[in-house]
Amino acid sequence: MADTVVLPQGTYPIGTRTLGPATVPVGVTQIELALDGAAMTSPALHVSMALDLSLDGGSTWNTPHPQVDPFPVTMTLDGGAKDRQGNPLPKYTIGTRLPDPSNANRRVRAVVIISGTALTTSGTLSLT
Amino acid sequence: MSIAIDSRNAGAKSAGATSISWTHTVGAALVSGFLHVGASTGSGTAVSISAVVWDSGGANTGLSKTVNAVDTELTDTANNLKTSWWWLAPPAAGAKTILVTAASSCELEAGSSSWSGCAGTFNAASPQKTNRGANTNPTTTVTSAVGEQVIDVIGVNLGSGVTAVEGASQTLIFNQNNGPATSIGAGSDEASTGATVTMDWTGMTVNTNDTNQICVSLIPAVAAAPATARRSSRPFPFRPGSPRSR
Repeated sequence: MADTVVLPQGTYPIGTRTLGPATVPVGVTQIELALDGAAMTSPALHVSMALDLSLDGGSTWNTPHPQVDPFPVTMTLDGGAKDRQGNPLPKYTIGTRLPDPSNANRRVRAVVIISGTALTTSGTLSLT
Repeated sequence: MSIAIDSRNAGAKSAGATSISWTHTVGAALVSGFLHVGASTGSGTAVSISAVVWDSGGANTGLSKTVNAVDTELTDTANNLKTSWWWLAPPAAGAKTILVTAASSCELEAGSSSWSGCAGTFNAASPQKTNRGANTNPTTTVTSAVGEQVIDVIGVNLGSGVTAVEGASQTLIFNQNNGPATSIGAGSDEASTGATVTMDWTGMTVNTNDTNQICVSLIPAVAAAPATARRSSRPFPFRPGSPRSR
């Protein structure tokens, strides 16, 4: 499945944004959300990204059950991170394996919490 | 008492993270429970995992990365890859959050498993830690014993087109790949049926990929003696009124 832009390029103020939900095609086993890091160079920027999973078409999310482990998955980041060569990190990502690949009712959504300073970026969701 | 799997959990991966977390469910009826987390980082400046916490936001119970008084953390200095093996015994039951915190921004990969029937102790030869340079088939012969359970974690420095595939007799716990020119973290387990267990990985098709591998063999809990056996260990019970009780 092609990558999907779930957060258009822009500047987003401090606060919480929910992206999606998006339908997960049958057979997909991996999810990754990436934020373009080109303008995320301020160490004052702090972001939390969480990926949520529904197995029932979005009626319930992250229902505590081994079947939905490991969801929700989250990451926290500080702006200004470097890659291995010492250059600004090109993208910040969070990802994991998706359970229950034969389930046609799977939905995913992301919750992005911005603090410290505004976030300038775009966001891409990959389902493979 | 034999060691049995409760849950294997794919965990999570991230590039540019200072922490990652995920949900792991520990069964309610777990006897002699054990929780394991494997974690690996990649970066331009070797980054350690500073803490792993069970039930983040709740009890916030810290896991240990010390096995038999040895720090499990392993560093590949050529590529700034760090890998570590964490544990807690027994974990509180329930669906709770595992939080892995790094000392600074890095590539992070981690996963978890929970078990029953564990003593919370380890084979005296554990941990067995090996850092390898260019190698397409990292393999460790793990000292173990019948009834023990070996769990390994591996960190791989990536070129391109590289995967990590567990050996045929191992069961995958997690396999998180952050993509070309970054790193993989993965873990697997295998029951011991003899004095050694071979833990190996393939898929490193580009022969320039350094690896860290940490292997630990869990010792099974000893079953409690039956109540009847405890009573029979008193050979000369005294009775009120008998000559010896006066």
